[in-house]
Amino acid sequence: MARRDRSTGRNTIGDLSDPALISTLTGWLERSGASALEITTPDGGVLKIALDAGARLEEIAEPAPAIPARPEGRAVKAPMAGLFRDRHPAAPETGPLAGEGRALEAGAVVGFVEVGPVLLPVTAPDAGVVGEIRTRTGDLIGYGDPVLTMEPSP
Amino acid sequence: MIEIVATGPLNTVQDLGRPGYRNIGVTACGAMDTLALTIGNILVGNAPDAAGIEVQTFPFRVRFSDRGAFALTGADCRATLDGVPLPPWWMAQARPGQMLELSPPLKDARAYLSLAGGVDVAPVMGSRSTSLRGGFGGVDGRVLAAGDRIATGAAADGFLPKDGFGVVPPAVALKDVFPLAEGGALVIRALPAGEHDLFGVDAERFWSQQWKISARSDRTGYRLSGDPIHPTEVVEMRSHGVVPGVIQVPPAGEPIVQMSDANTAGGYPKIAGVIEADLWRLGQARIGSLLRFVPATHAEAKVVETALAAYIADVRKTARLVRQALAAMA
Repeated sequence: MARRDRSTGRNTIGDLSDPALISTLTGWLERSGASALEITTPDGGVLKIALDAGARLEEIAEPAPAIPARPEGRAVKAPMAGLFRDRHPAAPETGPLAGEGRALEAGAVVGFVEVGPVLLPVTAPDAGVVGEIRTRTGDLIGYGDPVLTMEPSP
Repeated sequence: MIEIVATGPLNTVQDLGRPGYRNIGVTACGAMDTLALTIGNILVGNAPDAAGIEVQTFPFRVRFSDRGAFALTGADCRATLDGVPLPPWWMAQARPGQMLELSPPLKDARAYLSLAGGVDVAPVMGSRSTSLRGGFGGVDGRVLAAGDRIATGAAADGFLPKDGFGVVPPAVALKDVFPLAEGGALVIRALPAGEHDLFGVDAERFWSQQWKISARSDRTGYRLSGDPIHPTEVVEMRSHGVVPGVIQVPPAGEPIVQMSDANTAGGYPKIAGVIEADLWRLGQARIGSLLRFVPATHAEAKVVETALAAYIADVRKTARLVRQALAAMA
């Protein structure tokens, strides 16, 4: 069992009942090989996630009071179905907006979803560092599909 | 309401122009790149005749007094909102106090700032366009100055995405219908005009050479520099009506292309007329840049015009659908 105490007040977790957060944490847990984790926030919010052998997850979430969201890293998702573009179509010579390891501000545009002639931004919800790129430019993606993952800034 | 914090010397309020008064000597005016202004109005949900700000000198900075949506189209000015970069051809929402800054574009000449509700100035003869020569329209018939406060009309109802959205710029979306630059020269299609054949062998040199847009060019017209062309005989011509796109050849032999603030009449021989669907591209050409004219037919001009209209219709329709879908998910 992995246990991490968040007593410093830094890196506050946000809404512990957020399914996206739980899903992200569960993904990490599965990949890490650990069987369970428990997070305690300074204000008493507790999130416990335990993995059964072979089972996906079992969760006990106690909602914490609203804290400005700053999850430990999460998927940046497509706002709508369309073609993913990793850079603006008028600037093909530039590199991708979000390369792996690149530090981004909250709200930064990491790419676009092209719907006919319309472009929708894919934005980083929080500041952080680009982790894994999940979608290649030109791919057809669906609403909510992860475009990339972001890790908190070191 | 926005406040102009800094502006270059020749930025004005423009809409699609003031047609219908050439007979009494009133220049039509209007945006040099009407396509960019049209898309900007669609992005913020404005009616097509809403006025925006044509920015052709930089830097240009405005502060938003109220919350409001705006769009930037045309030349990519590497715009920032409170320091955060915005993509080109983009709509975004400003909060009160936020500063929008446009830097000199690296290519193209003019950017358009569209505000939700449109620039609220009194229409003159059916248009809000600034006529600098006439001294009317826009903000008191003059160029914008630091300290000007620009009011906006009532914004249309409807959801606008909080993270903004944009379009694939027409130069990309329509690349198949607009010719590529040749040897660094913009290729502009034109129809031979009334006095074309008067130029004999020189007409061939009009089409074959690259012309440079001289420093004596503005919204009224582009004076081109190059190897002069002359008619085979000097003819006395009566003054005749002139519209944007008409290419006249004065006695010195270097052509003038009439632009948005075109004179209403002129007496120089006309060698050609730029097709209407290419005028917005010419409106984005910079002083000092090169261009070459290629002869087109009416049928070709019609094909380009149709493609342009289809792009605008597609943007209008898709933007509406996307806004509705995002509103439903919000």
